[in-house]
Amino acid sequence: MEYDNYDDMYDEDMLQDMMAQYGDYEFDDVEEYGRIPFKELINNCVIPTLSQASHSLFPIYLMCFVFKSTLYLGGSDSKEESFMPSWFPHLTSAIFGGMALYSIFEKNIVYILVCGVLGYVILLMSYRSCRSYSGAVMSLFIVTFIVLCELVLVQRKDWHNVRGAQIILSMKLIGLAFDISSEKTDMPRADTYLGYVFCVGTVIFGPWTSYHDYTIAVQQNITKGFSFGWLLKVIRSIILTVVCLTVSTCLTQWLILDSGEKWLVAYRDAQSFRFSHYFICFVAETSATLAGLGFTEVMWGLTVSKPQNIELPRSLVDVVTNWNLPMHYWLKNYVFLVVQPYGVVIAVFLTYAASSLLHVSVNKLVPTI
Amino acid sequence: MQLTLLVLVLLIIPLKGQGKKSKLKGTRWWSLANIGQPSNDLHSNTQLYNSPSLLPLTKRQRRLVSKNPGTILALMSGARMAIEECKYQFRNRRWNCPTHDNSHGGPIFGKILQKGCRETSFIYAITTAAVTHSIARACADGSILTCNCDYSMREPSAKADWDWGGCSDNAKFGHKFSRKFVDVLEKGKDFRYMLNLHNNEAGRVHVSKVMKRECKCHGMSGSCTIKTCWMRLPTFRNVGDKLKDRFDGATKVVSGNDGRRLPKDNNGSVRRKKKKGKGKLRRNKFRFEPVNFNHKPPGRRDLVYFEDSPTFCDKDTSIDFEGTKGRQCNATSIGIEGCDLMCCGRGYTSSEYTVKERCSCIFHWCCHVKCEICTRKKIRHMCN
Repeated sequence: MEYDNYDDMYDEDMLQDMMAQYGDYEFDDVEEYGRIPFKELINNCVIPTLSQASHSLFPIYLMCFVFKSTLYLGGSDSKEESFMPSWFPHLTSAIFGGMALYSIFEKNIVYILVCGVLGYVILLMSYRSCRSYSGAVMSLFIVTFIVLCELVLVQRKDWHNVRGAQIILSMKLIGLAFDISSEKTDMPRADTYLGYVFCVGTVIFGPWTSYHDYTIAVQQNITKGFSFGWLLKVIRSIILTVVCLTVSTCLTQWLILDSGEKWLVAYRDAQSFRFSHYFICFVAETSATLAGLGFTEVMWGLTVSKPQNIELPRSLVDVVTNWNLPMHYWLKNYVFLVVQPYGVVIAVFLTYAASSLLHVSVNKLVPTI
Repeated sequence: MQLTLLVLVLLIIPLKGQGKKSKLKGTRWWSLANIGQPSNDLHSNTQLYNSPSLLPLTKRQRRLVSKNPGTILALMSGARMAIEECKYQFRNRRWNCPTHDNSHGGPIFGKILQKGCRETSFIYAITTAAVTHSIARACADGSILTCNCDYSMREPSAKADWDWGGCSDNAKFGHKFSRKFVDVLEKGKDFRYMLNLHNNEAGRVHVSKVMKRECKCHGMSGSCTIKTCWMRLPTFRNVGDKLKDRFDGATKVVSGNDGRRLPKDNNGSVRRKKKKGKGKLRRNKFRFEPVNFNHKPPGRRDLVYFEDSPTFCDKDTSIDFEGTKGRQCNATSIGIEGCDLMCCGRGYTSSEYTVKERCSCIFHWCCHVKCEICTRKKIRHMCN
C-alpha cells in the first residue's frame, strides 16, 4: 500500500512544477502528416468511422425494417381489411419515426415535432377557410419558422444538427399543402398526416416523397412481402454507403496529402464533400427501401443521387439535377411550376431562393443577397 | 515458436538478477525491442507477455503493464521503433546510434546514457516519443483494453458541444501512460534526473501535441446529422525529423538559481501563488539556465544537455562507442557524412565492388516486366 502511495506522488508534481515554467506552446508548428501505411489507415480511420456510423444508423435501419414487417404480418393474416384498423399503419410509421428521430437528435427532436404539429394546425385552418391558398400559407409559415429558429430561437449548433431533418419536413409540408390547394389530394386525417410527415424511412435523411407515394407505399407494405429485388436493392445501397463514407473520410485525405498542391487540396476537399453527400443519399435510399418506399411496378427503383453523372457530368444541368433527384423534382413541381404563371423570371428567382433557404443557413444567405 | 519463447525466457531470467547493479534500472525496458517479433496472434502470447516477472522491467513498470493488458506489445514495438528511428536519423553522423544486442542486461544504447550530452538527450526523447506514439496507436487499434476507446459509449448530449464517442482519449492515455512508465527512471532529485525528465517530456510533447482528433459531419446539404471521428497521428518519421531538429538546436544548460526569478507571464505567477496558498510547496523550483546568456531559456519542446559531446572519433569504451574506423563515408561531400569529417582526418581507403542490378526493363502487355541483369562497378570509401 505504502508503495502505491509513493507511486502516485513520485514525479508528477516535480514534472508539473517544471512544466509550469514553460508556456504551454512556444509556437504552434504547422502540423505535417505523412502518408501512413494502408493497414494503419484501416485501423485508425476506416474501422472507427464505419463503426461509429453503423452505431447510429443501425437502429434506424432496424426500425424501418420492423415497420415494414409489422405491416406485412398484420395485413397478410387476414384477407379482409377489417383486421387492421386503418390508423394502425400510419401511427406505427409515426411512432417508429419519432423513435428514430430521438435516437439521432435526442433533445433537439423538439424543433421537428413542433414544426410538424404546427404544420397540421396551419394546414387545417387554411383548408377550412381558403383551400386554394393553403400552399402559399404553408410556404409562408415554413419560411417564418426556419428564419425564426435560425436567427432567434435555436442555438447554432443544435440547428446545424437538425437542419437536415428540417429540410425534409419543410419539403413534405409545402408539397402536401400545394397538393391540397390544387385538389390533387384531399385533406389527410391526423394519423395519416403524422405517418407521412414522420415516416420512419424518410424522416431523418430523406428522401422527399410525395404524400401520394407514401399512401401507396403503405398499401403495398400490407399486401406485398419481401422480394429478392428488394433485398438486392438494400444490399447494393449499403455497400455503396460504406464505400462513399470510406472515400469521404479516409481515402481522399490519404491519397492527397495536406502538403500537396493548393488546387489539388481544394479538389480533394470538394471530392470529400461530394462523397459525404453521396453517403447520405445512399443512407436515405437504404432507409427508405427498408421501410418499403420506392417500389415502382417493375422494380425497387428509388434513386436519390447519381454519383456517376455528377463525377463525370456532360453538362452543369446534369450535376444540378442528379445531385438530389427528389429535391429537384420537388423544386420543379412545387416552386417553379407553381410560380411560373406569374412570370418565368420570378419563378427562376423564387426557385433559387427556395433552394438556397433549404440548403444554406440564413446567416450565410443574407449577406450574399 | 514455443521453443524460441522458452529460450528467450531463459535469457531474460539471469538478466533480472544482474539488474540491481545497473544504475540505469529504468531504461532496461528498451531491451524489450530484442524480444521476438511481436506476433499478430495476441492470444497465444498473451499468457507469456503478460506474465510481468519475465520482463526486463522494474516492479512499478511491471505493475503498470499488468494493469493495462495489451500494452506490452505496444511497448515492444515502441522500443524497436525508437531504435530504428535513432539509427535512421544518425546514419550520416559519426555517432550513429549504435545499439548492443547484449543479453547481459546492460542498457541497449550503451554507457552513453551515463553521460549528459546531446546524444543522451536525444535517446531519452526519442524512446519516450516512441512509447507515446505506439501506445496511442495501439489504443486506436483497440488492442489496449483500458484506454476507453469504446465506440458504444456515446455520451449524452448534455454537454454543449454534443460529443460523440470515439477514440478521443488516446492521446491523453498515451501521454499519461508514458509518463508513468518512462519517467520512473533513476530515482533522485538531482540535476541529471531533472534533465532526463525534461527530455522525456520534450519527446512526448512532440507526439501528443500533433495527434489530432478529426471529425467530419455528414448530413443533407452540409448539415451535421451524424458525425464520425478518428485519430490522426503523425508518422513516426515525422516525429523523428522534428526531434532531430531539436537535437541540432539543443541547449546546454546548468542548474538555475532556484526559483528566485518569478515566471514572466501572469499565468505562471498565479499558479505559483496558489501552490503556496495550499502549503504544498515542498521543494524548490527547478529551472534550467542556458550556459550561454545570449540563448533563450529552453522551452518545453527543446532538448537540453549539460556535457559537451565527445568527438566520437576513436573507440571509447566509456561510452560503448566503436569509433568511426571502418565506417562508410561520402568522398565528395563536405558535410558531416563526408570522408573528411567522418574519418576525423585519418584518411580513407577506397575499394571497388560489383553490384548486380536489373536494367533495361521492358513492360509486356499484359502484365509482366522483363529485365536484364547488369553488373556495375561501384566505389566504396571507408574510414581508416
